[in-house]
Amino acid sequence: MTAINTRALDRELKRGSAELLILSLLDARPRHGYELSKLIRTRSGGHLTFHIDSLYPLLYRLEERGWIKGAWVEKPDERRRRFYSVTAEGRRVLAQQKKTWAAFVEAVRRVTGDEHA
Amino acid sequence: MPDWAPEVCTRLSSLRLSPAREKEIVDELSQHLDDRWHELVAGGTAPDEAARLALAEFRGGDLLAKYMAPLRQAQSPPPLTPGVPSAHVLTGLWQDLRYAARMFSKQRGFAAAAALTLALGIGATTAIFSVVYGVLLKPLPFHESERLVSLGHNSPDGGRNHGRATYFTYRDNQRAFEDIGAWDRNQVTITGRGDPQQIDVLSVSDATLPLLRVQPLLGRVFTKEDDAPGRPLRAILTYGYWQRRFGGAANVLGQPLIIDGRPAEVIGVLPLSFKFPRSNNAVMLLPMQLDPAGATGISFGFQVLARLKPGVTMSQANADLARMISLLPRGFEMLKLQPNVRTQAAYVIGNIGDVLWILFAAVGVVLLIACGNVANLFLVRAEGRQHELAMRAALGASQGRLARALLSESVLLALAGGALGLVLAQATIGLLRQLAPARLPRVDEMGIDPTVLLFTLGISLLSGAFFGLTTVLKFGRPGAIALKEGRSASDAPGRHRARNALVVTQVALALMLMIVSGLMIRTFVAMRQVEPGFTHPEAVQTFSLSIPAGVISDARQMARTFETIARRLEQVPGVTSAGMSSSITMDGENNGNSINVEEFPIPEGTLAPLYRFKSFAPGYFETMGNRIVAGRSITWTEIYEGHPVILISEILARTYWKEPARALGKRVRTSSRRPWREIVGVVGNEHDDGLNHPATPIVYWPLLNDSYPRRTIAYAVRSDRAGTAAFQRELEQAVWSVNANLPLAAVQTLDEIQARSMAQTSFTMVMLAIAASVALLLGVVGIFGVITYIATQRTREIGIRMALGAQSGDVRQMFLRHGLLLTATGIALGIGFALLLSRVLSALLFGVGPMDPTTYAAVSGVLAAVALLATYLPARRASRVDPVVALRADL
Repeated sequence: MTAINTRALDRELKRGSAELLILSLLDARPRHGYELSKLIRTRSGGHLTFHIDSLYPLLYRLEERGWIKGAWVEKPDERRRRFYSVTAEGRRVLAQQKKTWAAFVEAVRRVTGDEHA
Repeated sequence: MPDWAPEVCTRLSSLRLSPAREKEIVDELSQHLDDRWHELVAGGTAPDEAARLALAEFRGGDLLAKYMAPLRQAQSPPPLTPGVPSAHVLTGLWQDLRYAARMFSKQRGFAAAAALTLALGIGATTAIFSVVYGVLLKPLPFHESERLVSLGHNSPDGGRNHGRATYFTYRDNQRAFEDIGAWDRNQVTITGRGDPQQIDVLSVSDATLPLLRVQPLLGRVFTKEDDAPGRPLRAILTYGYWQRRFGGAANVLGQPLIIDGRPAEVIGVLPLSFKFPRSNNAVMLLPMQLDPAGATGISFGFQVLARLKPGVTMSQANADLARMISLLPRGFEMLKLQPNVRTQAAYVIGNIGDVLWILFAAVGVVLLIACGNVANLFLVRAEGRQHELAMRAALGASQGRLARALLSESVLLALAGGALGLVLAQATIGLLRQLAPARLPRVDEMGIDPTVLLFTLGISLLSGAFFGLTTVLKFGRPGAIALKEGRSASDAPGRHRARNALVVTQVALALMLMIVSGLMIRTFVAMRQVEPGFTHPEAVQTFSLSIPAGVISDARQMARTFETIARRLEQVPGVTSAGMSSSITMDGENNGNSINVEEFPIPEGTLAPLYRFKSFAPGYFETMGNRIVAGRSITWTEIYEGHPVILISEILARTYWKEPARALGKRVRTSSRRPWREIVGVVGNEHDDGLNHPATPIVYWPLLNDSYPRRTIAYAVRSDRAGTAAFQRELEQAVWSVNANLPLAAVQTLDEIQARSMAQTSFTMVMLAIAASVALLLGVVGIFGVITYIATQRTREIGIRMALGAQSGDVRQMFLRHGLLLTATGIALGIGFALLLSRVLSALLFGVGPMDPTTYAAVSGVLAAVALLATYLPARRASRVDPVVALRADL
C-alpha cells in the first residue's frame, strides 16, 4: 500500500469512527460539545483530538440526519448551553454501526490475526 | 473574559445561515471557547495567552465554513414575505428556466449526455418527418389541388389506365368534372440545333394545363386546334430548357424546332415554379393530338386527370365514372373494369407511402427509446435531490410549483436537444436526398420549412413533458420521510421499479426495430439471390437509340441501320458482344399484348391473356448472359424476310406445356386477324418487374414486325470497360459513324438499372438498419446505466456482504441475474410487438416471412449478448468493491 493510500484509509477510518464515538458517548447521557471534545481527548489518552471547527459541523450533521437532538439548557448567571442526546433513530444507527465495526474488526482479525486463536 | 462573538461570526460569514441559526451557533461556540479559556487560566496560563490558545482550536481560517457548507442549515433561502403575491406565472416560468439553465451549467456532463441522446432521437424524427411531409402531406403545387383527381380503373388483371376509347368516352359524357385531360411521358429527338438530342417530354391534351391552372410565363398554352390530329406541331418549353437551350431569349416564341423529324414551333414558356409530379425530367410539353376517329379498340397507355366540380365528392365522382364505363365500346365489358378515382396526390405518392410511414414509426420508436434514457437520467438525478425537493416543499413550495420547476428543467433540456436535433436533421436530409430511390416522388420538396420547424418544436416539448412528468410523478410530492431519510435512501428493490420498467420497454422497442430491420436485410439478401435473367450486370453497358421517321422513314432500312450500329459497336476495343431489344430487363418498360395459343383456344366471350412483349435482334440474349433453355434464337435473315417465328420465356412455356422443350413448334398469334407464329426457342426467365416480383411471362418478337413497329431500341454491350466515360464516348462515336443524327439516351450500366429496381428495398433496409442500430445502442446504454446506478447505490450492502464472506462471484451473479431478467422480459415483449407488426410488414418483404423464426432468434441472440456485456461490466466492477471503502459509504 502506498503512503497516499494509507493516509486515505486513515482519514476514512477516522471519519467513520468519529460518528461512532459521538453516538456512543451520547448514548450514556446527554452532553454538550465541550464535554464531548474533552472526553474524547482524555479517554483516548490524547490520541484523538476534535477541534472546534470539525466537532460542531459533525454534531450539526448528525442532528440534521435526525440521529441526535440538541436542546438549550439555561442556568442562572451562566451562558445557556446546548446539550445533545441520541434519538431512537440514532440508537438504531449506533447498533448497526457497532455491528458493522465488529464484523469489520473480526474480518481484519481473521486476515491479520494469529493462527492459534 | 474575551468576547468571542466577532471571531466566530467572521468564520461563519461565507455561509447562508438564517440569522436565528447564526446566533445559536455563535452562542454555542462562544460557550465552548469560554470553557477552554477557563480551563487554561485555571491551569496557570496567562489570560491573553489562554485566549490565543483557545482560538487556536480554529485551525485554518475557513475550515469551519468548509465543514459547515454541505449542511442544509448553511443553505437557507432568503426569507419570504407573507402576503406578497408571488410574481406573474410567466415571470415565474422564466425564473424556473433561468434557474434550470444555471443548474445545467454546473452539471455539464449530465446536460450534454441528455441533450445529445435527445438530439439523436429528435434529429432522426425531424429528418424523416420532413420526407413524410414533403412527399405525403404537403399539398401539390397547384391551385385547389385537393380537387385534382386521377381517373383510373381496377380490374381482375390489375390497374388499367387509358386509351383513346376511354378518354373520348369520358371526356364527352362526364358530369362530375370541370373537364378531363390526358397526359403521357415520351421521349423525342430534337435535331437541327447543334448535336442531336433525346429529351423527355410531357404530352398533354388541350384541357390538361388549364385544369392544373398553369399560367405560361411567355406566350400561351395549347388550344383545341393545337391538339387536333394532323395540325402543325407546337411546343411549350419548361423554364429550365428555355434557359439552357435558348439562353432565356425573349424572342423564343415562334422559333422553329425539328422534333422527331417533324417541324414544330415554340408557342410558350412555363414558369420556373411549374412541376408536374411524376414527370420531373420532362423539359418540353407537346400536344397529344389524339384522333377520335375509330377510337373504339381496347388499348391502354396514358393517364387521365380531372378537376372535380365544386361540391362533388369522391364517391359521386366514382359513381359518374362507373356510369361511363358502361358507355364504353363493345368488348370493354370483358375487362370487368371498376372505377378508381383518387386524388392526384394519392396517385403521385403511389405505394411509397407505406414505406415512409413505417420509417417514420421506426424513428418515432428511436425517439421514445431516447426519451426513456433521458427519463432514467432524470430519475437518478432527482433521487439525489430528494432533500432539496423536500426542503423546498417544507419551505412552502406547492406541488404545482415543484412540478413546474422540474418540468422547466426537462423542457429546457428537450429544447436544447431539439435545436441540436435540427442541425442533425439538416445533415441527414442531405444524405436522404442522395440515398432516396429515384422513384421517390417530390424528393426536391423535402427540407426544413416552417411546418417541419413547428413539428420539431412540438416533439421537443412533448419529449420534455414525457421525461419531466416521469420525474414529477415519482418525486414531485416529497414528504417528511424524504427530509428525514435524505440521501441514505433505502435500497429496497421496489425503488427501482420505474427505472426497470423503462429499461424493459427500451429493450422491447429496440428488439422490435432490430427484427424489422433484420427481416429487411433477409429480404435484400433473398433478392440478391434471385437469378434476374442476366449475369455480371456491371459489365453490360446499355443505352437507348431512336431513329425518327424524319431521319429514316423505311422500316427495313431502319433495321439495317440498327444492325450496322450493332456490328460497329462490336468493333469497339474490349467489347465481347452487342445486342438490342425494345426494353432491357427491369428498365420499367411495360408493354403487353394478348396471345392466343393454337393448342388452347380461348372460350367465346373471354379475353385472351395479356403477356409482356419485347422485340429483339440476334446477340441480345448472349450479351445479357441469359440462356436459351430450349430451341434456338433467330437470325437477321429471319428478321428481314419477316419469318413468322417467335421466342417465349421459360415461365410462359411451363404455364402451357410444363416442359420448355414441348413448347417448340407450337403456334401463337395476337388475334384472329393476324398470322400464326411458330415458337422456335424458349429463353431463361427475366424478373422484369424487379427482383422482388415473380419471373415475368414474356413473348419475344423479331425486331421487325407489322404488329408492333418500334423506332426506339435499347442496346446492350458487354465489356469489362462498361461504365467508364471513355468507353461511353467510344460507343457514341461508333453510333455516329453510322448516322450522325442519332442521340444516345439513358446511358447506364445494367448494374445501375438493377440497383434502381432494388432502390426502394435497399433504402428501406439502410434506414431501418440505422434506426435499429441507434435503438440498440440507446437500449444498451439504458441497461448499462441502470445496472451501474443500482450497483453504486448498493456499494455499502455489497461491502457488508463481502465482509461477511460473500465471494465476488456471488455478487457478480446477483447483478447479472438482474440484468438478464430485464433483458429477457424486454425480449419477450419485443417479440410480441414485432408479431403485432407482421401484417404491415409482409408487404415490404420478399423471400422471408414476417414471422421468420431464424431472424427472430438471431436478432434476440445478438441483443441478449450485447445486453449481457452491458450488465457484466458494472457487475464485475461491483464485485471488485473493496469492503473497507464500501463500508464508509454512508459515514
